Amino acid sequence: MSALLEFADLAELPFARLARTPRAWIPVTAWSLFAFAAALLLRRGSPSGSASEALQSVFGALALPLLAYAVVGAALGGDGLARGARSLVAFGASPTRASLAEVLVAAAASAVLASIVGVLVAVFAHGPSDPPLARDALTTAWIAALGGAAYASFFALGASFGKRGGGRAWFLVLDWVFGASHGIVGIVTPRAHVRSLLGGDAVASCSNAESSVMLVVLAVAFTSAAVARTRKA
Amino acid sequence: MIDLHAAHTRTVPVAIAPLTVRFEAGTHALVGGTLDGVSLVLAICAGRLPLRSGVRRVLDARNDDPRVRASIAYVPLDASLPEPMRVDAVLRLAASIRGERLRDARGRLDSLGIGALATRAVRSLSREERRAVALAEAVTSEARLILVDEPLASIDPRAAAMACEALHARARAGACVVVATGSIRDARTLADDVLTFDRGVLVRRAPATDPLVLAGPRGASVRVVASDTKRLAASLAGEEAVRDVSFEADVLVARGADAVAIAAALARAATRSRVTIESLVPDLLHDDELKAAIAGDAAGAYRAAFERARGLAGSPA
Repeated sequence: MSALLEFADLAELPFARLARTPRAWIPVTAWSLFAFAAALLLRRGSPSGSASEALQSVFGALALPLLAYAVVGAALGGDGLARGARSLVAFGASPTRASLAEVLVAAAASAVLASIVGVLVAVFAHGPSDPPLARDALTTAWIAALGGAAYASFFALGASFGKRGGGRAWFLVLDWVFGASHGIVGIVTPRAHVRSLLGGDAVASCSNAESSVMLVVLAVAFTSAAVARTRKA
Repeated sequence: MIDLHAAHTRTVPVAIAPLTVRFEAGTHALVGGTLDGVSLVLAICAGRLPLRSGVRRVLDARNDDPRVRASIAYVPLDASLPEPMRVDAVLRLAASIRGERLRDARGRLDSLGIGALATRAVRSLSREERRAVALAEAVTSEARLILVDEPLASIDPRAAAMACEALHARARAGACVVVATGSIRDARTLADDVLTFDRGVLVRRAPATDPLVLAGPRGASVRVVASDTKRLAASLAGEEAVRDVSFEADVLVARGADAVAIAAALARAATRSRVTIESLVPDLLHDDELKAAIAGDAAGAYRAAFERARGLAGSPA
């Protein structure tokens, strides 16, 4: 119980950063609108249905990582992971726990937002030849949530590099470069697994179930590594 | 309360030489400039800077003990507060993290005269106001160790006026208060125990009332322009406070451990030899960085001492 209360205290800051920093919502809104517009355009170009293409090439490839990138930046106040928790540490909070709270809040927010945006993209791009809308939306929701959380922890690890969290941008590039691979290189990037789950090519011959598990494993691993790095900072 | 044993660390361009020191309840000032590493020593005490070697124990526990962490209130020069929150919410959050009972935020801030900031958003505060809020949080918390970098610098003037008394009050209540400052005047005002650092080395620890606190790491010297410096030098022969004298052109340089005692000796010698002293300039500190940081403050104190000495010199024999 006391651990939960402590987490609630520590989560208050990243949550406040997300909720009370309107500037942080500009990129989130922009990438969401971009995804919706692209979905509507694809739908117009292919009246029979384009949900799969919209989810793979627009949402999974662009909107999801950029959305998570923006959410992590907002949750950390545009700073590095350790520096973002500095003000809480000054009050006696454990650096690792404060950083963990930041990562978990970012992951949760990213999962919820990605889920909402993913479902709306699926709805906007849905056509008669696509699978039933409800099933498609539900499937998209959990894949987007899983992908959003994995991406958030991935970028949080990136934010543990560099004084002001500049490593986050490098991790975005790494994800784009290595995530494009269908081979073993792509297995450690969220991008490859999200693409596979959204109907694209499998990564390193992983099944959908294996890719789902891998996303969970990656989220836990990235979070642990990010928090461990703040202990050293 | 704080025990450092052969504690050594380094962050470019400052290195702290292996330092063994113990701070008990009371007020302690670490005096020195940026390059003397006093801020680093404070950060070591706060557990914010890892040691390369040596041991740091706080409240008889290791660095990473969470109970200890909550007992330390550390206010660095660049104190940061949670940006998107209001000041009263920040104080409530801080109390919650420290495991303290919740108290009225305005009352806590009023201890430094800044109660009006309670309802302000942190991001609307100036740097000085933020430091004042951080200091108010520290002095009104139940932390047993209060570590403050430059408590009277870059701080809201309302808070600066009351900070000194607030820190002394916490020390009287049993807390260990350690401040780092480049000003000897601030050190003597804020603390009972003054530790002088020279490029990462603790060179002197003395009570704030000790006149040696005002001297540099290698003693003090006084430059004298007088009507007859040779005769004045000869008259200084029997003065124990003056260790040696030398001449730089027509200027007599008298050296010793305590500049105030040197000034008094010069006054006596001038009276004996009927030499008129035209000017006395204290050469307070040998360390250039420390001198630059503190000379402005110390010179005032010396000027008063020398004025008294000059008064003695000018009185009829």
